[in-house]
Amino acid sequence: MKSRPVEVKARILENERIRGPYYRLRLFCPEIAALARPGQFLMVRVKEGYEPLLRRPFSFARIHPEEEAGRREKGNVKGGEVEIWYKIVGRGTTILSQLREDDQIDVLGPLGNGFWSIGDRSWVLLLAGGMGIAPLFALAENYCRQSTKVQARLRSNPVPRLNVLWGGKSGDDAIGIRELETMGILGGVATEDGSLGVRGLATDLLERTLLTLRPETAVIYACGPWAMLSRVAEMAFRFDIPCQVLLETRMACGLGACLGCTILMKGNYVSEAETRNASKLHPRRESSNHDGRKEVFPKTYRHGLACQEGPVFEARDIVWESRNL
Amino acid sequence: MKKGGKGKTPDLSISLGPIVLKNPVIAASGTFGYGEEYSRVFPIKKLGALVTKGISLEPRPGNPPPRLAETPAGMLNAIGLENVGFNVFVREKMPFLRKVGCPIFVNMFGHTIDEFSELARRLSEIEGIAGLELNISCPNLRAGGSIFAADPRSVYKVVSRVRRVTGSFLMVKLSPNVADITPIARAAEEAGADAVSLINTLIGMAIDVVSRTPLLGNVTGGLSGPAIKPIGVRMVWQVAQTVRIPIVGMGGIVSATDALEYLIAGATAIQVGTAHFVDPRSSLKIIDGIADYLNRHRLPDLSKLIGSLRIERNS
Repeated sequence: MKSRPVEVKARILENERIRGPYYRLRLFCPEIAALARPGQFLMVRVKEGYEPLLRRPFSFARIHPEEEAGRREKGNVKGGEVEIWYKIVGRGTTILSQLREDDQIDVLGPLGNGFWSIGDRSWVLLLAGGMGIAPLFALAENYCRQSTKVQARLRSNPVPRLNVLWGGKSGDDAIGIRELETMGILGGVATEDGSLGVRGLATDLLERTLLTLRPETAVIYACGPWAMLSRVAEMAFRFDIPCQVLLETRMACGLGACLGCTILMKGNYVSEAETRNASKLHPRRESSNHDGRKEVFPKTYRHGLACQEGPVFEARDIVWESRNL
Repeated sequence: MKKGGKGKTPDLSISLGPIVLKNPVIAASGTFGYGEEYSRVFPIKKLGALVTKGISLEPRPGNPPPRLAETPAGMLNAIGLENVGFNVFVREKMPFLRKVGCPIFVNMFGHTIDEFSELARRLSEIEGIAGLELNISCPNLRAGGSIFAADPRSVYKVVSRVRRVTGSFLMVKLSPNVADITPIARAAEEAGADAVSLINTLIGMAIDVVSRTPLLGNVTGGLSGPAIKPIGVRMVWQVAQTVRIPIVGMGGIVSATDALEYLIAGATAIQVGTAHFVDPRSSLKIIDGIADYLNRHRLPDLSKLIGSLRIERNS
């Protein structure tokens, strides 16, 4: 069973603009920092009151349960902290960006499953599109921390190689990239306007990388826009590499009660009667079957809750055609 | 519960027919899963009662995503009555619910009157269920898909059929998507309902103006949250003038003050729904807030409060 989420008032240690619409929110909440794992998320109530109504889900970008020696960041890091990176996109994030140091905000977490590790893979690839970097940064940092510990204990033990590939619209959207470079794990950068790294997409970087490695040694963790993840899933399938994707959905409770955050997954309905009804439920997506083309929508699928089964999913379990690309 | 100035704890208990609740705050169907989900966050035994997610005879997969959209002081949902179905509910959800420590109401629905009565009959044989809440806001397949709740005759038919097959406590959940709710409530009472609960969500819609597409996969959905509270209070007040059976009021309750409005309008108990998404502990805060109010107003219990609306008319 998953760890119990806690609802606490977290003190804001820092809520600063990184660049343009991008912000970093550092929160003091030891109860949550102690439990959180990369790939899990936090439901943030940006304001008391009921307008806007719902909490906003954010992935952890950094998790620091304990005090760490030699941290470079400004501010006095005492541990018990988590960090969220966000981009102002609407009402919720606008309000969030106006909060100040020492303000208290109501947070609920950690929620969701988080990334899981795949044994005996010697090459770990992290692929981020835009702000999809946030949860992967937490994973990368966790990995670096653990591999340092492993190396200290067993000098001879080979530590898997880890590379982060990032793609975005422009260099202005590259958040956390300099840190990754300092950590020595940045494997490539691509931007659509060519202002940073190579001109192209994150998936171009991935394709190039996949050609240079032995697939049986690799594992992919990815987060970004649906279209990108869909393409990553297809490549991972083609190269037969295990691939975990972190998916974003609208969410209300975060606890599995409201059933609002469903993702269409391959698999069976709980009953045969409902499988028969599948075509009635998605008539628009089934219409292309008359001219003998491959049916777009599978006959059997099920709804997985992003807040319970996810937000991290095995890429091959997702019905990628279920969202307009 | 907080003690009052004179050190006396007010009595918050109320009765819905033969069922005594320790307080009038009930977790609403569809917002509280099958109880287990919120038990991870707070002691749900403190609730007056709990209503499960709506159950049908067969499991239902529900609507395609996206299923949620936030609106001003509210939200739209189009879950599509996704549920595990009767068999899985009894096998996997009831064992937990029996141990919760507050009365359990099972929300249930069907698409035909036969489905309603068959499910009600089966549920009334299950141990640990205090009563049934009939969700009549679903399309009536026999009547060309119009919802049961929109027509007093359909309501009378479905409730009286269910009444014949079960001795269980029967609460009928009414839809606000009608021109006049009072004949609907009266039909439920005449057909043998033990209580009515209202209001269900209001049908609404939201559009993404950039893509010019609906925000919900199902196009339309049910509006809930503080935005609908005045409508709920008005309808409870109207129904209170019409029926003698207890009324369970709901719609946009997020605070004790909201709950008190409903009680004063004539509700014997209230349900808290969407508020749980915002503040998982809101039901507990509402229970405490009602106790505080009774203390401040020197009321020993809720009997003098329920339906106590004063309307002063200048003639």
